[in-house]
Amino acid sequence: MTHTRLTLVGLIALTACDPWGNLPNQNWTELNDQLWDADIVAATDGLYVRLPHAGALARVTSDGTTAVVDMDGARPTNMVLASDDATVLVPSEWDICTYESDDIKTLSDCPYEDRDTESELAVIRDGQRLSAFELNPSFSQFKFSPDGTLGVAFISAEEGISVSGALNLTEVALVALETGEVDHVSVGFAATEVLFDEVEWADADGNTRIGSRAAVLSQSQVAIVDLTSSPPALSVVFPLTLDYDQEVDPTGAALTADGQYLVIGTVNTADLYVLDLEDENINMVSLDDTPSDLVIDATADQTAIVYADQPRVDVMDHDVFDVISIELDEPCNKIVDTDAGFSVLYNDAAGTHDVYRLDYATNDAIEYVLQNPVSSLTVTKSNEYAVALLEPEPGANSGGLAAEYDNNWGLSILDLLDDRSVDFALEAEPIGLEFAGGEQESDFALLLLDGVESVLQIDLLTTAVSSVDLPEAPTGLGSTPSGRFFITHDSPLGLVSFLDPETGKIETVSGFAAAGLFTDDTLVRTGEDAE
Amino acid sequence: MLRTIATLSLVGALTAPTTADALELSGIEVGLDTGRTSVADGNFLLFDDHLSALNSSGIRIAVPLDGDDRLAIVGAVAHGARGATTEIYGGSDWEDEYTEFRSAIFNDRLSAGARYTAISSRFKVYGMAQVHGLRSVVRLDDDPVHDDNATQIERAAITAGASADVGISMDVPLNALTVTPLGWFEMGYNVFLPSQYEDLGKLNLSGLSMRMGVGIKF
Repeated sequence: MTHTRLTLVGLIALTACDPWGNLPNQNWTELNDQLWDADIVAATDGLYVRLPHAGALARVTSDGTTAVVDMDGARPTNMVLASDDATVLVPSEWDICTYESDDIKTLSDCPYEDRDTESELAVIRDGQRLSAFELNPSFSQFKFSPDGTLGVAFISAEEGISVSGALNLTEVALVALETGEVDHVSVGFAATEVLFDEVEWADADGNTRIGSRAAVLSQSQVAIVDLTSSPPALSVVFPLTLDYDQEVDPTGAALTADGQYLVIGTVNTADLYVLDLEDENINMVSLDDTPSDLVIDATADQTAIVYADQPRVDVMDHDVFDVISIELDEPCNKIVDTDAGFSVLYNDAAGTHDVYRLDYATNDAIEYVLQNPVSSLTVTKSNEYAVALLEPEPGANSGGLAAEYDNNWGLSILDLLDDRSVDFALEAEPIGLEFAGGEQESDFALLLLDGVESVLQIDLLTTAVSSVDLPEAPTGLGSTPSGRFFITHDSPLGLVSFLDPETGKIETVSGFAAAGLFTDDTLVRTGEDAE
Repeated sequence: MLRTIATLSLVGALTAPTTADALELSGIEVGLDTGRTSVADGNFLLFDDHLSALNSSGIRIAVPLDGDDRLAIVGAVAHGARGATTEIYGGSDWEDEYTEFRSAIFNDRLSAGARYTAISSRFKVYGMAQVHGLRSVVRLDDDPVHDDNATQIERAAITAGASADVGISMDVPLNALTVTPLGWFEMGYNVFLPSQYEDLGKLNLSGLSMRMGVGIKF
């Protein structure tokens, strides 16, 4: 009898000591929204994470601290990091009930026909909501001036358009991030790109600004916005065609460093538009084929143009706009510029193996022959290395070691100073590639492979590869402005690892997505509360 | 803490026959009861999407204050747990994809109150009012297969509340026993202050309650 009692007491004690081994599981429930969105924004003060279920924004830092940003009851719907790496723009929305009654406390209390949603753009810095201003959520694409003080928001059909009242689809919104002032300028239909010059100027308070003009590319025209006036105003519009039945869509564009010339390539035409923004005229440069990509190198002050079907690169000077053709062994359809006197050319569509370093000083194209076709290529910020991800080439009918390259995904490190390359065969398809920032910017690359529960850390100088084990299966990775990596994991409750590339040390922050789990539909703001 | 008290109480109950003779126990009721509160808070569906019920079981003692057994003080401890697997849809237009985590809530309740018997026959009809101290623990785990999962979240909250119930009980005297077996069934309403689980948010565990039990009367 005594033994029976002791056994019973022992069983009870065991249950009490292992709280995680016995979680009750009597039924199934369902949530409609993810607890967290793995599309993270890495700002200087931490990672900003949207919590869709809670309708909240969390900041996660590598010391394990998680804090929910007070959004004054608004739900973040998107996030955009400004060019200063410290400011996060957060389009957000909240529900209102247009039927006024003291009895209506929650959205559920409100009649369906009286429910509405309002929106704003919040400016977040250091975990604080500094300001917010009204902006139609259709303005979902942002470009920032070089000094980060001005954002140009434009409408993108891909992101969805919300028409509330009357929406001018030809407008862009100019957002002064410090003051929260929003000015709308009509620039043309379906804006696709905004480019800034890097000219310094002084505002009315004597503050130095960078970026005196913004060029907004839209269907069949380019609008130049003068940023030095207050408020910013449209200064000139360059039509790309005089026939309004004809659509001319820009494919690529670049501004010269002094901001005088805007060079534009267009779809299905072999003409290059050179817009003189000072004298307000257009020069047309005839090319032999339709360009697939173009860049302007600030150091060389030259434009490089490549063609998907032509094995050559054209280099155009900005004085008399002469074009020099440089022959290549294989055509390239993409250019990555460095602003350091050279560009890197590659082809991600034709199954070719060549990558070139175009030296503007000598007009030489130095060839790198990689083992497999390139799927993407990135140049490190130091401009010392390029890393190309290589696609498998199963139909190559190769044998021996070459077959290992052909049958697998690959990675190639191109040393742009010594003009040599090293190819690696990879275990699986790469799903993420990042470079360390900060002082050690170009020294390390981090590679994530599909289905592999570790990350590969590659020393680009020595090409040494090491594997770093992770606490859970990774889903993505990114780098922080401070030069660390972060890795997201397949964890519904939130799991992010921070990796220091110098030490290989991993710090994990977990559970942040459960903040606000017990949420409700209380109406926090009325329509009049919007700032 | 309350788990420990409950455990010790159970141990005490198991060892009671060795000491009962030394105490004056006449009229005292001791029993095991179980029941549930139908929590009205919609967030409780994370733990029970079917009944939204906070279950608990424990020990209850009633001590009569008068000779005709009309008025008694009542004390109880109870422990319960409820949990579910929570699915989150995360797919796309062309592919369904779900992630899931385990969500569980544990509760320990300490209660004290008074019971007044309005109708006293073989069936007794009574009303009861109690105050409660409630400690509840929420545990979330997105990989319950592994005990060392990095994402295990535990948040606890303490709250107080009160309840009012009506019930019916029945004694079943048996000559062969020196104690009287009895059983009861009662329904009422529990009101609790909201429980704050730190960053997770608040739960209001108030709701209609139903309890039943069996015991002995000395």
